[in-house]
Amino acid sequence: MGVAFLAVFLLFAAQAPGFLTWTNLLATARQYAEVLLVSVGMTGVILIGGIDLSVGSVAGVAGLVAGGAALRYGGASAVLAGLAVGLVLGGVNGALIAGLRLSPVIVTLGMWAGARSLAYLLTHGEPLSGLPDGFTAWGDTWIAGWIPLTVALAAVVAGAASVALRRTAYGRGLVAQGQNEKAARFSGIAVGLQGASVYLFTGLFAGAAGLLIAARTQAAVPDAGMGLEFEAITAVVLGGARIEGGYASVVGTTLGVATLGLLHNGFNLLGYDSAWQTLAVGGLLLGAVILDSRLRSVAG
Amino acid sequence: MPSSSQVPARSSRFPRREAPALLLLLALGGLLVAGSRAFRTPANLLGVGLDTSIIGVMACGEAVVLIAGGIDLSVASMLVLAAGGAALAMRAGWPIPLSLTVGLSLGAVAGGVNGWLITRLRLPPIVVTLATFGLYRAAISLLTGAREIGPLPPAFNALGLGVAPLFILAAVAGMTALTLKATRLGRGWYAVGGAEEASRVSGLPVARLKMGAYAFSGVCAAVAGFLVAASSGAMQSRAALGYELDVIAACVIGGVSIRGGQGSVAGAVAGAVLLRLMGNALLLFDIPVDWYRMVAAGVLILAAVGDRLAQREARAA
Repeated sequence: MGVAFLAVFLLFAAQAPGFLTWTNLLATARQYAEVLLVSVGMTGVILIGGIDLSVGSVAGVAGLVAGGAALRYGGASAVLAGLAVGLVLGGVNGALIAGLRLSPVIVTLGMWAGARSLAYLLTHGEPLSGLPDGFTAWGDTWIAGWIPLTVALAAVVAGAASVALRRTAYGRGLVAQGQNEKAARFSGIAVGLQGASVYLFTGLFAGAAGLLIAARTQAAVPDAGMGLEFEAITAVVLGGARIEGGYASVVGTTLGVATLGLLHNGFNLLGYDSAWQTLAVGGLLLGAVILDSRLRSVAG
Repeated sequence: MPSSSQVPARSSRFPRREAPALLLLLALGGLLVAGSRAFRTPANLLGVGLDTSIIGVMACGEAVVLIAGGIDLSVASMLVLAAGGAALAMRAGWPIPLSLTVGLSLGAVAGGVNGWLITRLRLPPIVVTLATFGLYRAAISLLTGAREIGPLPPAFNALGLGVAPLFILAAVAGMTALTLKATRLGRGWYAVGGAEEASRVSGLPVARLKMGAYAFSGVCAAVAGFLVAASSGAMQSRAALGYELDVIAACVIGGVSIRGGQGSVAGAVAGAVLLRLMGNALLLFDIPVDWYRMVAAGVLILAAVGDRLAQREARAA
């Protein structure tokens, strides 16, 4: 993983004009704080052997609801509203998947479409602009003048999640569930509750990502967050996670997000359009799963 | 995802798995015929027929993939890739039959690549088809420079006119159903999806069967793509966005099991008709079209819940 990150970094440092400047790298980091948040949640989902296709749509709805709340009641209520939307939609995913034991692909495919549809219905497809400064300001706040607040926030969340996965009973329970769900259940782990909590957290992080997008772009659009699931799943797999579950690391995921960020930024600077970038991300996703499966078949 | 300890389907003549979709279909159809004058106009019926045919043809391919124990999220992207390729060929002045062959081959290759990655490299179908969901659409967007490819020759556009789409749906569905029920290939697909390990042990060519299922899904997507292109007289890389939901929902409502090994083409097509009738009902009763995806998503989840409950009941029995 580190190799892929370095390769992308060095390639663009050599090729793309203006890539290797603090301004550019920090601006990129600011755009990828939201991807990191979602990817941290996705790391947990993939760790337990699940998948969540709905994160982008959940972020879209959360951003719109937050935007609406910001216009009516101000910034603080907007943050609460956005996070609450994420929690509720993530909770629905979790209840259906862990409670009724439905296929995560089907449930989150339904949420992917349902939540996006909700986003369009909320404002009849119109964007919400003119969001109050109280809401957008923190999207453009820089700690000590050079670290974007949102990046620091996402980094703190990632750090906490990493510790939670590696050092707590909860994290070890998730690993056990991903490696062998039946064995985990027999050894007394509440896999249902635990699984639901992972989708709940992912919804919460997707909601937070929706807030970040709205604050950064100073508008709430029904299309916001489209394709976020694609980026997040790619980042997690790039980070070395086993897609079947049982192994995933937040540190790896963070490197994966950074690689994607540099890739998009480098391509933008070199003037390649979004179709090329989709091609590159899709290729990376396939390449990473192929490499992972080859390495494992060599190892055992 | 296919479990090897599947409960065998009960051998009753009553179409248990398809019954909910068929009943809902009759109810909604009856309601629309009786309650809406606008529904009964030929133009409206043909419009519903076209939409149904597009989703239904793709659902035939998806049903085969699901029955064989996989899932294909890339159908709409294969649709634009294949139809885009055919449209480019026609614009380059190639004869229509040759252009259609190009499109069908592109679909088969795109689906075959999915199948190859899934079976030979043993990658999970969700990840592979999620990646190609992005890749195939990006590829055709690059090939066409994201421009609309058209106008297309009138002889080709005739495929999307009047009742032609319904005939194409009937032909594809009929052939798929026949293959599933009456050939070794079809029985192989059911066997692989129902109990993959047992099929392998008993000597079935598991990898080739599954690869064939994905390639078939690509071919169906190509045919659906011809309908999309012919009915609009042009093709663009942003066509058919989000259709994968309709297609998978049609299959699941129609009783095709997402755990593999069970389901029928009749069910999948009934699911497609049901979904498109719902879409049409929203339109006729002046409900914003944005509701359509919500309804489709809700129906998908309800169908999955129903499938789960039926499975529990079958285990208990």
